[in-house]
Amino acid sequence: MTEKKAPSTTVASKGFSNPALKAMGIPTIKLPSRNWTIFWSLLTVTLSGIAYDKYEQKKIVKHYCDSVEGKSKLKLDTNRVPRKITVFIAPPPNDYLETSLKIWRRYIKPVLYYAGMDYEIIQEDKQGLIRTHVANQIREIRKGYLTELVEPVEVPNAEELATTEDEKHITSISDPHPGKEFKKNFDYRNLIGVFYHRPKIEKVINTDSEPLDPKLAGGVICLGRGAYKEYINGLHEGLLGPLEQPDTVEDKTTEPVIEELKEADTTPSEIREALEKDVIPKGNEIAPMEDITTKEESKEEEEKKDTRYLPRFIYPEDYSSASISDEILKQLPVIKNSATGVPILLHQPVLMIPVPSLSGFTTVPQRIARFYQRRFFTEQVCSQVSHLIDQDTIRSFKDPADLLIGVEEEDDWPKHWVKQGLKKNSEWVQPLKSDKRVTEFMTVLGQEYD
Amino acid sequence: MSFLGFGNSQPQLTSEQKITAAETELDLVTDMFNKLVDNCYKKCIANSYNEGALTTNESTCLDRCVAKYFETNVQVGENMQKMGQSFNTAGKF
Repeated sequence: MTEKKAPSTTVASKGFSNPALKAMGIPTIKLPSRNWTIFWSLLTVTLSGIAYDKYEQKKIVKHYCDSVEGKSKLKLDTNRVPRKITVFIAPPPNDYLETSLKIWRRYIKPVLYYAGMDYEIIQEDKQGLIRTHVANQIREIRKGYLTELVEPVEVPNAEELATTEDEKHITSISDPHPGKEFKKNFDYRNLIGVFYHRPKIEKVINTDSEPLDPKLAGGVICLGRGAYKEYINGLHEGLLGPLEQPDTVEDKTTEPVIEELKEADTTPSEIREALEKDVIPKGNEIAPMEDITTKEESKEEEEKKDTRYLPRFIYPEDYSSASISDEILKQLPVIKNSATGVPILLHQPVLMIPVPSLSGFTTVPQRIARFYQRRFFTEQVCSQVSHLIDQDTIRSFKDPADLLIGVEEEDDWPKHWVKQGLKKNSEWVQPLKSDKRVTEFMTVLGQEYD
Repeated sequence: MSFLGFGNSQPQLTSEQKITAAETELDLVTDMFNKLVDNCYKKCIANSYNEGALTTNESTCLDRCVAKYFETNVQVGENMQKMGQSFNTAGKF
């Protein structure tokens, strides 16, 4: 039987080769099949895009940290306190506070740290807390100045009344609290020997209290459009509003989540919707389902919540009819914190950093594109923060235009959230209103905005 | 704290006991201070001595270190006190 022989000429194997390669002994280079090629190429493209973007982000942050690092190597006397930046962090709507905190931790905090700046963070997880904090701060300062206006009546104590030597001796013996003076002045540091070689520091000098121009003192960073709006509202409320909560205050933002929960069917999606109406994030790090129980429990702990949030003492419609009170007028043009000598937040330059946060299914391609372009965002953030540190592009607040800083962020906000916010009259969806008497003292960082 | 009806709320100490209590307290505070200085020095002060003065970063680091150490110390002390009280009332470990 004839065996079927394989054809003598072998089929030329698919692949690439040329005489030079053959001479070197390199075998023919074969590509994998079409499907595998597609798979590997897509995989490499996606992963390398991510890797490149992350590498560039790191480079950018490192670049700005290095450029600012010189400031932290300067000498600081022991009786001094460095410059302080106040940071207001608000979560984007329908999202967790973590989103904003990530931007803070990755891009802003390193630059501030390497510059040797001190910073104070005020976060919020529901609307209105930042505004309450800022307004309370200003009201405290006003109350401090108000008590200074009233001359304190000096009550002479027994020692001063005693005129003759005998009387003085008697008063010191009959002093009902002999140890009071001692207790007031008692300090362990005197005993341990901290002040044995060096004298005690009586007065701490705040670096922010030194510049004659208040726009060179400190700085404010508002992370998120909501934080910026609440900050500006808080400034106006503190300066133009009353010192005490007016009795006829109606919280124009309607509240009741709990009633809506009872009415709705107890399906998870509807509960989640009802929760999203009042609280911005789905729950800080708690899953939505657990949030229901905490909401009902917090009804009893309402006092604890109420102190952080106060309804507005004055609304924008009443700004023009309100007047700045006397104790502030005396202190203008620069209102300082009487204890530290630092100009209040009103005078400090404000930097608004938008938090891009798209949500939804139809926006997924846009979100992917943003994810791959994140390095441009970090460049923007880091450069603005370093400008704030260097204090080189501070300009005065332009009233209507500068209220719209970062308004592009509002395009990201989910439409149904905005609709619900308008229904409930919530703060973030209202257009920002200002008063010239307040904004004439404000300063902003950055180029002109149209 | 428990026998308000019978006597004073705080145990009456003789002056000798008061002196020893004050001495112990001083020992504790000195000990805490020494450890605080050691730890914060190790963590905050850089190893290169090209300058004798403290830099801004070192100063802020020290401020924060001292604040954290103190707060931790106070918290731990309070928790230990609570544990000690519950140990006393419960009667078992």
